[in-house]
Amino acid sequence: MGQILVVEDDGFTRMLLRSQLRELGHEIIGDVGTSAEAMMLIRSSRPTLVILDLDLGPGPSGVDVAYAVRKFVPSSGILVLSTYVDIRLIGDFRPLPPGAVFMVKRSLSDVSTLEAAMAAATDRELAQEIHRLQQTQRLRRLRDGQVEIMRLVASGLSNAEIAKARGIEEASVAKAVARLISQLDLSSTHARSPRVLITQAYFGFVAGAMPTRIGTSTS
Amino acid sequence: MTRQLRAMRSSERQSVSPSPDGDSPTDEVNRDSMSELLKVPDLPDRIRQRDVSSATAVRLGVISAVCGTAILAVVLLVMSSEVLTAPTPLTVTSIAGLVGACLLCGIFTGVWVWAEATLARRAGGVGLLRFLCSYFLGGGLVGLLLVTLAPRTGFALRGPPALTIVSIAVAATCGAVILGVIHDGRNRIQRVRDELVAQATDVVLTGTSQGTEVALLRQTLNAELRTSLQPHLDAAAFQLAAEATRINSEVTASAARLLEDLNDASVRPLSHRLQRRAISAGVSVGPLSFIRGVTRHQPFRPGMVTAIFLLTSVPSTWVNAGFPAATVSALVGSALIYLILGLGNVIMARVPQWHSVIFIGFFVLLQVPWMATEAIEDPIMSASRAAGWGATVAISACILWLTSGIGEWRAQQASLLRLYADDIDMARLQLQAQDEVVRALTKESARALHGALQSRLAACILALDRAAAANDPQAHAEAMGQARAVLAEPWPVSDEPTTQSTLADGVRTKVDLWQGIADISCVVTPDAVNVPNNVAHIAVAIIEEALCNAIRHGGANTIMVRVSTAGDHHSRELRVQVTDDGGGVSGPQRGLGTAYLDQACPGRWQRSTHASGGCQLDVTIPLEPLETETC
Repeated sequence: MGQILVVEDDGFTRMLLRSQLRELGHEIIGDVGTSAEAMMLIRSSRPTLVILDLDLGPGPSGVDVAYAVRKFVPSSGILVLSTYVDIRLIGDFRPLPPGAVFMVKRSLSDVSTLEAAMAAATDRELAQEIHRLQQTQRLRRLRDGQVEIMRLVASGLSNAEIAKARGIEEASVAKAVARLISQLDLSSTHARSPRVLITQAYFGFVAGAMPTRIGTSTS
Repeated sequence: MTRQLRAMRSSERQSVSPSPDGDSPTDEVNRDSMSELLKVPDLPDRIRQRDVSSATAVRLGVISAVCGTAILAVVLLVMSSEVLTAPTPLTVTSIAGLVGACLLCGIFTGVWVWAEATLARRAGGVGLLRFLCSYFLGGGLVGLLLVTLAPRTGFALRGPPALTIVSIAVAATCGAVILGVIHDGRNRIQRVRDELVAQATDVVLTGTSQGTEVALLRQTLNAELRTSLQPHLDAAAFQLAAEATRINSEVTASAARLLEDLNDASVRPLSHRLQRRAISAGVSVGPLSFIRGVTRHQPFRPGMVTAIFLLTSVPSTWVNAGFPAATVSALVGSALIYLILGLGNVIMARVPQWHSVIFIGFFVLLQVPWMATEAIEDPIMSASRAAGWGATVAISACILWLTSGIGEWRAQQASLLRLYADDIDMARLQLQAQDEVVRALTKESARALHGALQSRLAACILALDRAAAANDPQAHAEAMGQARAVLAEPWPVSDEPTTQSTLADGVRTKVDLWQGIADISCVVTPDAVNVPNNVAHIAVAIIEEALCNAIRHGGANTIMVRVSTAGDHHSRELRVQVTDDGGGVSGPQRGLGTAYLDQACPGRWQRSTHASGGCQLDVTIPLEPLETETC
């Protein structure tokens, strides 16, 4: 595989990742918690692969670092980790730089998935293929605007307020909400509000799974 | 707008301070600038657009025509009851003529109200065109019809036709104004008020759904981490719930206040608010201000009254008392009319409930034809007759100044409704700002629970395991102590310095954060080290924003930050200069960054693009004179 640099602000996860990679027989040239340290190491030792957490605390985010890696060391592979299944859920709409592979942190426990993702991150064609496959996932199929509407619905905004915030007609918001329901396969036959269904789906995506019921056990 | 909003949101997320209280000055600044960005400018426009539709104009016209006819007919028939007790062919014809005139006046009223409504809709207010159409054309039409009818009506034959026409025209005018304007104004105010109440309800609902959001998030967090982190979850949930309850109750209370203000059945609360809030900006009391106010706000109505006065009173004065007396009476009378109209505006603005007085005045005015007839029957100009004439003119003026007061009153109520709209906008902005705070808070707590806290606890568990394996009571006690410390302080200590001892430290911290993403060099001159903390805070925030923009939007490789002071001891200023080699900015492009600078920067700022590419930001913040500063 070559030399690997781990950038992760959480010490526990970093330690886990490092020991797991060591066990798999990879060469770790460093594990760091801040973007500044990461960039120093990347620019001096040009690793084959950078495993990068999306959320690095205050200052630059993982996306910033990924772009900087692409700019300064174009040969390095980039594997971006996040607790979220789709970074658009938290309102960041910048795409990852080309060739970067996105992976949900939950999947780290599965060694074969991690190996596959690392392999894809160092191979541009494979990375593109993975990216294309990921785009077919249910959430990825949604356009940026739809994800944002989903987030706004989950924030408790009314259709009128969403329309105002996004600068579109209120009727279009209603249509978009209906389309979200059908695209996410959310059946609204339980006599439940579509907004509640969308909110549940949003929090389901944010939490990493798609729960069928949230908060119904109390009733 | 949308782009700014989205950018604002994402920046809010990224720039939010990790401290859970969220009360640091940076947050305040962000929230302010966000409120600025989220401001909804189109609500007053929408209120204006909510003016009468053409269908409403027609409906108003028909209603006014029917009402006008009915009222005129009833009053004239009552007035003529004495004549009817001993009917002669002449009086019967006269009554028939009167009823016909009533019908015509009613139709005129309807047409006028329709024209007023339509023209108000198209032109958006009073204008010469509206006046000409509604008064002279309408009045002329009725006059012509009456003249045509005159030979056949006994009533008209008994007096000078011009006088009768003018009198009836005045009566019809007043009827139209009163019925149309009041009806129309009430309807519009009612509609706007309903809309505002609906919006306030919406605000309450949003507040409630915000509580739901927090509850949902809390449940999700709970479910995920329940097993390992129950105590901290409870602490976090408590904090979240307390925050949500606080926000919810604040929002509900403010919305309830709005609802309370709005949700009264009559327009009286509006008028009370008007007295408190809008009156000061309206008409001020003073002998000349009456005339000024009337001339500025209703240039035509006093002219109309004056014309009626000159037509009715002055010719007879001229005939009876000579030209000088007529001139004096014309001048004094005109001045008096302007004064009365001004006073009317003030009274209507202060006590708008008095519009019932107008109705009474309307009935009084209907005595005009009768008085005229009586005067004609006795051609000698007696004192009682002169008094009658004076009363007639005074009543006409009275009616019309009250009527013109309605215009002023409506204008002020419209501005009042705008104030309400602003209130609701403000409430919604606050709600959105609170929404952002809740979002940031929940994200921070989730991060703390997921990340730092988890690892700290894991370290404790490892230490406990090791102690257990080694059978070492002291190590075990130490590990327990550690775990207790973690439990006692579940929120990790913030990485970001909350108090910056010096400007240099703050700048250095930010530059270190971004170092490597681009090559950042930083110079803080020694004289700039001892600036007050609040200025340092702002400067550091501006530098971080500039760094972030240069890297994200400019794609800069090299950035230079220079912080220095300039000026003498009396007028010092802090200069922040951020230069990059990125793509630069084409033209006066504006976005979140510039909006942030406008909000946050207490001094001046300037952004320039080099010819060779790259961008330079110059910020100047004035400092207090050195003597007053703590050294």
